[in-house]
Amino acid sequence: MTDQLDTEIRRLMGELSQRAPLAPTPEALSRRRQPRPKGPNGTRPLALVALLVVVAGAVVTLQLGDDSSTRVATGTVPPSQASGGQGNLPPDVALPEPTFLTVATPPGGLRFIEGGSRTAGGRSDEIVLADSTGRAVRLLWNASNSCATGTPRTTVRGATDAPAEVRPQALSSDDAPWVHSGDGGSLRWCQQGKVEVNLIAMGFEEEATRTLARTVQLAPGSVEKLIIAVPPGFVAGRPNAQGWLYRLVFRPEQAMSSRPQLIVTITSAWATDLRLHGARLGASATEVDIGGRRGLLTQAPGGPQYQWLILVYDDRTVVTLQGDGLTREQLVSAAASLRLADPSLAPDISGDSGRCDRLGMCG
Amino acid sequence: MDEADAQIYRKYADELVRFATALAGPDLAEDILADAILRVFSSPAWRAVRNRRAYLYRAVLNEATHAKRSIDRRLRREAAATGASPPPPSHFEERELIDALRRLTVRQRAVVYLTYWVGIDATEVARGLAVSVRTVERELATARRRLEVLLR
Repeated sequence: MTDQLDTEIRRLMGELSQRAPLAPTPEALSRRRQPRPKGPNGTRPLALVALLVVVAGAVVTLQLGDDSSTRVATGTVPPSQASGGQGNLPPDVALPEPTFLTVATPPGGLRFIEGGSRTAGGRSDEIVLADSTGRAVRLLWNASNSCATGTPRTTVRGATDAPAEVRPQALSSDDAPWVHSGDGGSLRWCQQGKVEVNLIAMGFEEEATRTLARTVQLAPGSVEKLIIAVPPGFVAGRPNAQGWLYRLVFRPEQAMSSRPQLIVTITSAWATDLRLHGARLGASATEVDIGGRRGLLTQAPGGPQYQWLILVYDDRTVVTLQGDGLTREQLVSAAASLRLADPSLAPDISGDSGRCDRLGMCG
Repeated sequence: MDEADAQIYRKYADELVRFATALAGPDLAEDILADAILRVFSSPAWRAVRNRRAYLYRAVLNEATHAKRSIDRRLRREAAATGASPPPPSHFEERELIDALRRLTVRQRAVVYLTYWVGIDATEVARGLAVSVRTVERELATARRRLEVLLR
C-alpha cells in the first residue's frame, strides 16, 4: 500500500500543480502596489489595509538548495552535538519575520514616544540546551575578546552588567572556579587560549556541569566556533541568530521624565519553547497566562522596580515588555492589549546612532 | 519593484505559483503569491536575505496560512451575523481542490508538496519551513494517514 499511496500522492500533486494559474508578471505585481481606488463607501479593499498593518521585515535564510549561507542555526536541534554554525547543526534555518505589535492600552499616564528596528544580533555566540524537566544550560562564547585580559560579564542569571572579575581566567574548564547559584552554577574559562567561554547550568550539580564542560571544544578548522555535546533528552537552540528586532518606548505624557516607562521589544522567535526562555531568565521566572498565550514574568536585575514579561505571541514572535517603575499587574495588562500595528512605528535605525543609543539597541 | 527583484521574481515565479496552488488551490494561488511577493519586497530585511528562493517559499506558506485564517474568520463573522451555526474550518475554495487534500492543514500540504513533488528530504523541508525534522515527519505521517483513508 505504501508504494501505491506514494504513487497516488505524487499523481495528486502533479494534477494540482498542473492546475496552477500563470504567475503574474513583475509589471502586474507592480501595478498591485499602486493604491487601489476607493470603494463606493470610501473604504479601501481589506487586503490593502491588511498589507499596511502587517510587518514585513526579517532575515530569513532557508535551505532549499539555492544559495549558500553562513547564517547561524536556531530552534531545536536533534543531533547529538550542537555547534556554533558548523558540524551537525543545520547551517541555515529560517527565522520567520516577527509579527509587529504595539501596546494598545499602555499603563496609565504613558504614551508612545519612539520606536526603532534593526537586525538582531548578539555580541556573543550562544547555544542553549534544555530538557523537559526544566534543566537548562547556556553556553556563551566570544572569540573577539582577548582571553588574556577578557572578563566575561555574563552572570548566572544572565545579567550583563555584573562587575568585572580581576583574577586571571582559567585556561580550561577543569581549572575554572565553580560559581554556585540557586540550583546550578557557572564556569568560565578561556578555551584553548582563544575563546572566552561561559557555561551556565541550571538544575545541574558541579560535577555534571564539569562533565558537560569537558565536551566543549573548538569546531574543527575554526578558531571561533564552539561545539558541545547535547545530553540525551535535551534540545539545543541558538538564541542570538540574526533576526529582526523592533523596540517601542512608552513614557509619561508630561515633561521629560523617563519613569515610569515601558519598553516593548519584538523579536523573531528563535524558539518558542518557554523553557529556553526560562533558562535565560533564571529560576525566579514564573509562568503567566496572557489571554491564552504563555508568558514568563520575572524581576530584572536592579531590583523590584524592574519587571520583565516575556510573551510568546505566536510561532514567529517573542515580545518582551520591560517595565521600569511598573507593577507586574500593569505589565500583564499591557501585554493583554498587544495588537497588530504598522511597523512604520519602528523605522530602521541601523544608520542612526543617536536614536540607536536612545533606544538602547546598539549593544 | 526594481529590476533586481524583478529578475529574482521571474526566476522563481512559476514554481512559487505551483506551490501556492498546492497550498490554497488554483483560485487563490495568484493572489497569495502576489501578496507574499509584495510583502517580501517591501521588507527592510529582504536585502540581507541570502537564500532568497527558500525565503520566498516560506513567504508563500505564511501568506497561505494567513489567507486561510482570514477566510475562517470571515466565515465565522458571517455565520454570527446571520445567526447560523459556525461553519467548519475552510479549505479555501473547496470545489476547486482535490477532495483528498481538503483534509490537510496548510502546513501538511506544504510538507506533502515539497516531499512528493519538489522531491526534497525531511531535513531540507524542515529547514525550509523553519520547523524541526520531527515535526516534518509527524506532519507527513499524519497527512499520509489521512490520504490513505481517503484514497482507498
